[in-house]
This record gives sequence, C-alpha cells and structure tokens, in this order.
Amino acid sequence: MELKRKRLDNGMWLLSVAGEMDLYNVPEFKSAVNDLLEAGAPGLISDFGELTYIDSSGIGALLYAFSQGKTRNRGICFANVTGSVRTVIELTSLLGFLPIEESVDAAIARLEEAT
Amino acid sequence: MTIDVDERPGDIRVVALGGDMDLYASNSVKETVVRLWEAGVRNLVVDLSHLDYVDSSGIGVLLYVYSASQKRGNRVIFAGPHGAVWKVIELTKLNGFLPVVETLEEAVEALRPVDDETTPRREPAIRQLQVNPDSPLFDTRSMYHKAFNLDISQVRRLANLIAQKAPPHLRDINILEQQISELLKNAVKHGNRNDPRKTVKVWFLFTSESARLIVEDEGDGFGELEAWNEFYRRKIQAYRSQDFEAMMNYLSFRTDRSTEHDGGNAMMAAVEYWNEGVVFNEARNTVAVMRSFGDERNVV
Repeated sequence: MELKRKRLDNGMWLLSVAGEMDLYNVPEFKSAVNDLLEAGAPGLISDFGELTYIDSSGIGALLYAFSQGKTRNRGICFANVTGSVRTVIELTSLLGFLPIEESVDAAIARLEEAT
Repeated sequence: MTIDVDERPGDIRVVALGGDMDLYASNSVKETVVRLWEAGVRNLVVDLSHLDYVDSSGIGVLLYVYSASQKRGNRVIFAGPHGAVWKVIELTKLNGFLPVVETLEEAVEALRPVDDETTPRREPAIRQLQVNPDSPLFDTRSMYHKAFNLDISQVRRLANLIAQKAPPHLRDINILEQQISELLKNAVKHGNRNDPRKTVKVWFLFTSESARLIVEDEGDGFGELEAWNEFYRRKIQAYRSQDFEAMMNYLSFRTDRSTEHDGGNAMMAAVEYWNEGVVFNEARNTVAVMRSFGDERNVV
C-alpha cells in the first residue's frame, strides 16, 4: 500500500491510497487519517482509484476513518471506489452508509456543501 | 431548485424536482439519485411536474439518470413534464427515448410489483451462520486436502494459491481470494491464536459452477456464533430501513479475542459471498462454505 497526501486549494486533504489495504498495513492508513484530521483540515477525501484490494481489516479502517470524522466533526468522503474494493463494501452492506462519491471532484463538492 | 425524496410502497422512491434545473442544481439531482442507488433503491420516479425550467446540463443529467439506471439494472420513469420542460424534451427528441408518463401516479403504478395488492412484499431472509455437522458442505469426498502450520503473514499467499485453482474465466478471482483469505485468517488468529505449532486443515474443490472450502483449526470454536447471528440480524434490519444511527452499533463484532485492527466484519461479507451457506460443525472449529457462481462463469 502506498499513501500520498496532498493539500487541496480549499484547505482539505486528499489522501490517495494505492495498492492493497489489508491487516498487514491498516495501522498506516489509520494513523495517516488521524494525522490529517489532527492537522485541522476542514475535510478529508480519500481517493481509492489505485486501490486494488481490501480485506475486512481494511473495511474496519474505513469505518474507523468515518467515525473519527464524525467524532471530530470533520467531513470525510471516499472517492473512486470501484472493482473488488466496491464489491467487498457491498458484501459488507456498507454501500449507502459510508460516504462515497464517484470522483474526487464530486467528493469535494459534497464536503464543501456540508460545511 | 427544490429536490424532495418520498417513499412509496413497493420499494419505490419519488424524487420530485421543483423550480429551475440549471448547471448547479443538476449536479445535486445527480448526487441525490446516485446516493439512493448506493443505498439499494432500485425503482425510481423522477417527478418533473413542478419543474419550470431545464437547461442542457439538466437534460444531460436526466439522460445520465436513465442510462446509469439501465446499467445498474434498476428502473426509472420520468413523470409529468410540461411547459418549457416538455418543449426541451421534445426538441431534443428525447420523448421517444426516455420513459416518460403524464402523471406521477401513472409512474408509481408502472413500477409497483404486480402482486403488491394481494401479497405483502417480503424482504429476503437475513442470512445467518449455521451449525450443522450433517450438512452436505462437510462432505470431503473428492476434495483436495492439505494441512498447514501457518502464521498470519502466509495467509494471503496460501489463499492466492488456492484461488488459482478456480475456473480460469471466473470474473472476480480477487474477491474469491479475499474471501478464502478471511476464513484462513480467522482460523490462524482466532482459532489457533497465532500458535505456529497448531495446524490449519483445508479442503477445497472448484467446478465451473461452484467453489467449496472447508477450514478446520485447533481452537476451541466460535462460541459466540449465536450472538453474531443476532448482531448481524440487527445490522441488516437497520441497513434495510436505512436507520444509519442504529447501524452505528452493529458495524464491528467484537469478542474478547478481537484486536485493535480486526475489522470485526469478515463473516458479514462471508455470509453474503458464500451464497450456498456458511456452516459450522458442532465444536465450531470447522467451517464449510460454498458459492454458486451463477452468471459469473465464462465471462472473459
């Protein structure tokens, strides 16, 4: 798994995840989410366009990110959720529950609207 | 513009648009519809009867809603366009292409399941883990068998090797591997408690129609199985009624063996993926699963 952080013009963070997210590396993703939320950004978008695999620990990490956003009152949204990653989210009955948009732009629009 | 979502019997949602549908408003319409689909809504009426104006971006979104709905295998009907809105639809020659009816009630009627009046609509049963040592899923005849002394770092590799034996044209081998891997992880971690001296036994069999797998560990069994079933039942009930507040309580099933980075959701996906059943033996240290591939076969 490879994480890339980028500050957007509107002050939000974009966290792009590439490769495989599983029990071996979820702590990395969780702490990245924590750091970025701590950095006081108005919102965090995580781009899964390059994410090819996720397991139950990874799903747990998404739920963690979601609940951290709620607790700290920061907007969180996942973008470009496709392929087997989407299938696992669907199998876990979380489509519609997790904040997901089809593109980073749509995610930005959603978070801007919410603030 | 205004966007109102209303629920109708027969699992139908009405998205009522009012006012002017310009570029900015069009995006909100699209987002609203996509969100409904993501939440599992399959029958949609887009009520245009209070819409006064639509520009080209609005027409674009109506077209998107129609074609994306087709792609997802969902249904959508547009109801009650009039005045300027109807003119634009006519001018762009979409009246023969988009499913349009005159009134909202007609649209709702068209989407309603035929037997709705006589038989109340039944939700599909909520899937559950079973305990049944006599299940045919435990029949190991003609299955490949191997025993492993695994530690958790080797689980993905083994799951991958097993999944390689699946029929070559299976659409999503990635998911198969992921689901096998979850069962192996449970055996190593929660069953054998990461003790490398303990063995995990695996049986598997693939045909062009199905995948079967049995995983046995040396642990003292999944004692919380009934609690899990009740937990999952509540989650799915909350999900189906879109009570996301209640659902927050049922996202992760924890036991005293759970560790911080356990998702607590592996069996939730498993019980859905293994569509012919997830069955435990009496001691609950062995799980047998089966999936029928249906239309996943032979898709290149």
